[in-house]
Amino acid sequence: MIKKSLFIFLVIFTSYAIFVSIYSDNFTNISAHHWQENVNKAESFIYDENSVYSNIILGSSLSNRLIIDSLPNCFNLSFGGQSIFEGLAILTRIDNLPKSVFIEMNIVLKEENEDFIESLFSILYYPKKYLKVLRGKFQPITNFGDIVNTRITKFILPKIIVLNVNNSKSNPNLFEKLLEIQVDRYNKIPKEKKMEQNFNRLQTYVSSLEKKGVKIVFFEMPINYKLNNLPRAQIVRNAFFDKFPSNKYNFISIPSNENYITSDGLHLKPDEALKYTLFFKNQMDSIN
Amino acid sequence: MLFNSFVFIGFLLITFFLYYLPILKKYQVQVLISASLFFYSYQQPSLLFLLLFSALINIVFSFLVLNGQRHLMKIYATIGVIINVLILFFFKYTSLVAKLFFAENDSIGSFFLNIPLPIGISFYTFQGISLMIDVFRNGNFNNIRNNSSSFIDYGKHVLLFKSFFPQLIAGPIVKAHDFIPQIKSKSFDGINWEFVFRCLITGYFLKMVVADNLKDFTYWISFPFFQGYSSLTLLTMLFGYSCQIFADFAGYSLIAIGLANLFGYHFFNNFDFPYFSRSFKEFWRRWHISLSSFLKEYLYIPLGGNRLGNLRTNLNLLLVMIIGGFWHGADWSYAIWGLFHGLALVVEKLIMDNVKIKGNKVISIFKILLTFCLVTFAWILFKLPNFAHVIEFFKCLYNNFGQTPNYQLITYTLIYSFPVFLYHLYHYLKLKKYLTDNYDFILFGIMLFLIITNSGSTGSFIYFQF
Repeated sequence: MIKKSLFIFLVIFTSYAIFVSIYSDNFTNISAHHWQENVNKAESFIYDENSVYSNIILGSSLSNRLIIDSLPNCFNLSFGGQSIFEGLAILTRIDNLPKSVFIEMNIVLKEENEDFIESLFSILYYPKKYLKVLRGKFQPITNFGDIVNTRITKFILPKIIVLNVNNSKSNPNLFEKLLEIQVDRYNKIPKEKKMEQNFNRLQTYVSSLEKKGVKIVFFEMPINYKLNNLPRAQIVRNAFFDKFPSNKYNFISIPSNENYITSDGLHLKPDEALKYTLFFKNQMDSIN
Repeated sequence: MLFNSFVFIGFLLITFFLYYLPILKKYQVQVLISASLFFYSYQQPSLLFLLLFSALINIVFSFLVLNGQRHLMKIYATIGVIINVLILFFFKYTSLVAKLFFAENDSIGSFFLNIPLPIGISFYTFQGISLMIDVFRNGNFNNIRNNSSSFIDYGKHVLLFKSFFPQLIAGPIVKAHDFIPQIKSKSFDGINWEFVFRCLITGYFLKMVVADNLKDFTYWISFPFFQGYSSLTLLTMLFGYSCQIFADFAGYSLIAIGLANLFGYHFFNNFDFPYFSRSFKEFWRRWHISLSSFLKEYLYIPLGGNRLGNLRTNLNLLLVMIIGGFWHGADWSYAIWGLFHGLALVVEKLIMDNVKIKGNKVISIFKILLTFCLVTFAWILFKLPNFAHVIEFFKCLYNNFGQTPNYQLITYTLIYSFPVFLYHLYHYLKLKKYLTDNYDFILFGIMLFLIITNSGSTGSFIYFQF
């Protein structure tokens, strides 16, 4: 029974591996959830040795909203649900470094997700390099789910939307509730020890990249204007200016004449993301 | 150390090699103990002291029960049980009690509220209690008396029982009278490879493909995110969570059973297709069997079980289920979860005693669906330990009907939940002889393929927190 099972496994695995290697270009970067999106993004960056990017953006889900199509020769290595440290950890492990690295300032107090980095550079690093079938992008169930989902979206969803168009309602208080949670959070002063630990870690990463000739630029993603000047935002901002003096490092600050609302207090709405991306592009061009 | 990590695979191979090395055959128990202590201390070495302290207490008091003066046996056993309960109480429930009496900023309150919860403490403490009661009852322990007459030998056996790595951090809860008699020299030829293969492949599939993927969808049940989803999406996610918790824990148990068998030890099944239960009573005969049988054997029956009339039986049921709920965590929501199950058992018993329902297939299917739905709704107390959030969740479930469902979330949740239903259905069809084992190898080949190509992100097992 064991031998037969292993034989079946080998047949399926080999067939799928061949299929993937032939049709790999037809697979899009499908992700069923944000963790998978992170893994796919990181893997496509790590294993894509042909592309060399001049600029790399490192950040959290906040920077993930930047519209990368509007930023030429740029790779957005921002990860939803994570911090800047995962992107920095990846950059210290690869050879093809960019000319400039843009580091988000907002989510610096979150711990580095070591499991994530370990999963990318584990014992499977080399098998994944040569066997595409092992990469997240080619997961069979995820791709099957996408086909099912596309059919639902294409055929069923429009009918349901037509049926619901007059009845559809959203939770009007949700935004206020989410913003309230963020106001509470931003009113709290971050723990000094954690600040020190994370900024020390950041300084280590930054100096390691600088030694390799990479230019470092810090930028702050816009959040809801009510949060901008609350204690947490100010303390973190000042700590950046303190640890990384503005005469030595470039900073892209939030455009002063704009009041961003966001969808939940932190993440830009699509129209706001487009507006900020254009601002960011101008800043990026002037720095480079 | 997680069962689904590469470090663990390395650890397992080395331990397995040393265990069956002919030159070390005399030291098999020592090899397993050393490996288990290394396994436990891998991430937090300091926790090892607590495990060793707990083991020492159990060794000393159970040895005294076995070899001390007869009239003191009961006292030693009682002290042993009390110390086990106190250790569990201190590390697991002090914070809950402290919340009632101290402010968070208070230095004493802060000390009590920040007592760390050592991983696996609920499991190995219950095993300690089992040891005390079993040696006191002195039923199945002939081989302890005969083979471990010296304190050192006896201590080795108890330490292995308490620390054996496959069941150390998330069960199944192994009872002393089941495990200790199995401690003897094991041979490589005694391994049932097919059984091990079936357990490990099914276990890893349930954990890595089903539970680890589902967790990234059911994550959105957390507060405050659930407030933004439609009723249909919330309902699907809740049923997905029900499948996730089953796949996670049943998967872990199967891996533990398979690993134990690699070293010549037999554990009983911890799950017997619980989502095909037609009643809560049946559910508790099929779900986390090692916990329910522990509570029945060491709590429900000693309390009088069903021998003292209806009222007392019902009270016993409620008490046992509330304690069972609390065993899962130091939060009132777990007690409410236990109370819910206890009440369900009592109401069900009342109905069964007073209403005669003729059984047929339609009624059976209705009962299965009803039990599954009720059990699933109760799992929300596990996902949202804050009871106010639970109420908010049900409000959203009721109010968010008009919102457009998130079809991507629904599709993937259903796809990843499907294997859990298939697993149950496959078992049912085999039970009814519609299917045989002849073509199982195809399923196992597919499961292995999906483990390699479609595993989710590595996540801790849900039951680690208990």
